[in-house]
Amino acid sequence: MPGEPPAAASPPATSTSPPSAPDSPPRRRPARDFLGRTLEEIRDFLEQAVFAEGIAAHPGLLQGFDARAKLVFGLGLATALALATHPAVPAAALLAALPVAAASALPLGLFWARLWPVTLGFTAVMALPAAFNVFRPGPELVRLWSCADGSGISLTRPGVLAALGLALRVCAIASWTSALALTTRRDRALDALRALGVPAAFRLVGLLAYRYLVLLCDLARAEHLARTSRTVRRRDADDRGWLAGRAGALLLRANAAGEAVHHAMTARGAGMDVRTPAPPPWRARDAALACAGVAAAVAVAACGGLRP
Amino acid sequence: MTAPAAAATPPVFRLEEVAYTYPGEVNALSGLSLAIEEGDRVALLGATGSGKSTLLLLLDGLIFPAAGKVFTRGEPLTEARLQEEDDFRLRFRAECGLVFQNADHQLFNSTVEEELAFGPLQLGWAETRVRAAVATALADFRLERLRQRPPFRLSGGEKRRVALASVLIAEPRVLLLDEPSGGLDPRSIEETLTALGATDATPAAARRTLVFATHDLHMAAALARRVVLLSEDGRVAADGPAERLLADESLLATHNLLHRHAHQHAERWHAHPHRHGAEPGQGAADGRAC
Ligand SMILES: Nc1ncnc2c1ncn2[C@@H]1O[C@H](COP(=O)(O)OP(=O)(O)O)[C@@H](O)[C@H]1O
Ligand SMILES: [Mg+2]
Repeated sequence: MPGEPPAAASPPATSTSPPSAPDSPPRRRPARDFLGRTLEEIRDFLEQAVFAEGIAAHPGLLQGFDARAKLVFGLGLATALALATHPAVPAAALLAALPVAAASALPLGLFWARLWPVTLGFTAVMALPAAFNVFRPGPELVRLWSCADGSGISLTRPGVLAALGLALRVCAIASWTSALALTTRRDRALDALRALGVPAAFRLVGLLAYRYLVLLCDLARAEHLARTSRTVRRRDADDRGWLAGRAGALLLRANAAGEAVHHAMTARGAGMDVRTPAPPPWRARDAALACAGVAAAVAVAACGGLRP
Repeated sequence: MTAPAAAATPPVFRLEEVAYTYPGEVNALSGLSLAIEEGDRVALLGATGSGKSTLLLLLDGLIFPAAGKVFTRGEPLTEARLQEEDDFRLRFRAECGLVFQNADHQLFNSTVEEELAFGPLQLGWAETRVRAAVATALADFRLERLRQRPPFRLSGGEKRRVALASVLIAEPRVLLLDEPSGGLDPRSIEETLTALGATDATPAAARRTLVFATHDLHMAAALARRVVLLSEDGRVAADGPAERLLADESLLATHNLLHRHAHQHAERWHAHPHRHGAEPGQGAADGRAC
């Protein structure tokens, strides 16, 4: 269960393997039990990055700004990126995100190992068709398939540029959003949403969603451990089948637990509107950050997306 | 209204023929009537599944009966009133505190410190008062070392301590506890008893109305003046002074609160009635009490 040190979660298989490699790196977990490790990783990530707010509690560049200022800046930046037509805009935003993230105690691995691959994969599915001549006629780059009549399917220059532009844009928005979100304490984020007039019901759902995710991963891991302790032989394929089969039951359990958490909040007096400590006063640099966000959006809009 | 108009102060809680059914036609409580007076110390005893947790949720105004009525100090305790009448809600929530059976469900803040501050903040305490109360609670419950830790990363006993502290910090006059000794080692149980003022140490603790669900007959004997025994179909099977009911072994045995088995004390085997261990569902570490 959650209280145990993570080492306790590694499968008992380690003790039965021959003690032949005492000098092998001790931190490496056995490469078996794929599912157990994945569940553990997801949970650790959620806990560390999102729920435990380890990053938000760290001193750093973005942590030093007011949550409301960060929210305005983020919205301004997202607007600018959405309006931008020139690929240099998202490219510059993406490049700028890296040093800012580094100065804010964000592990860069989070970006290239977790965030970008997922975002790129997702965008590729959406953007790839745009790269073909069927949708974007223009100078051919690569011909993939020819018909007898001379027509065919090929990648076109404007098509590839459009697809790249979209991928860059989505990556830039995702990077900045996560950098801003992970460096903001949860109660401050709630304040910011309140300041922008987001209704209490939505903020409550947001607050519960955090807890819900952690509960879900907890349950999945606990069930997996319970099963592991009762099974002699494990295979990853079995594991995956098991998880798929359990998914519905897990959601129901997490739902019941989520309800209990809501009870716990209500029992201690929380109405629809959860109260948080008063936010610290707004400073000059907070105003500057908010203005920068708005200025970026206005500038890109005024220059017609800085057409290439 | 059936309450006699002459009654000096209405009871803290009065339940009239209350029934509660969970989805799937599970009858947790049926036809339950009960009054809890100011300053009562009530142990709710009953086998697992007899509806103790359900009753505590009803008393705390978190779930509402399908049939029957719940009153608090003579006023009806209904979902509509709690939702619509802000001052009633605030008054009721400030007065009653509930410590849940499963601490994992109760703790949802990112640090122990925030967890402690949550209740008082919701009740509208001034921030300086909240800060002072948090500092006192951290010291009282030996939590200073854990103040910045996320509550769900603590051990079972530590979680329980945080859960108890997070409710006691708001100084509730009515304290509802669900299995306060569940999954705790004897020392932690002792600490819990002390924290709850088993010895009537402070005047506030002595005046407090206490309702707790338990299987633990030792804790019941230490804390309760009155025992309400729930039968497996969710009715009141017995209600009376703690000394009398806790001494009634045949009654306790019919309600699954005692079992006999042989065991060893200093190399001598003997058998005597034996209390049940922790409830299942508290994690594998709990084990049986003996
Ligand atoms: N969320 C729920 N959904 C459906 N049935 C429930 C739920 N919670 C409890 N029950 C059922 O209600 C009955 C009473 O449960 P509970 O109040 O938790 O008993 P106790 O606390 O005495 O062990 C049990 O039969 C239990 O299975
Ligand atoms: Mg219970």
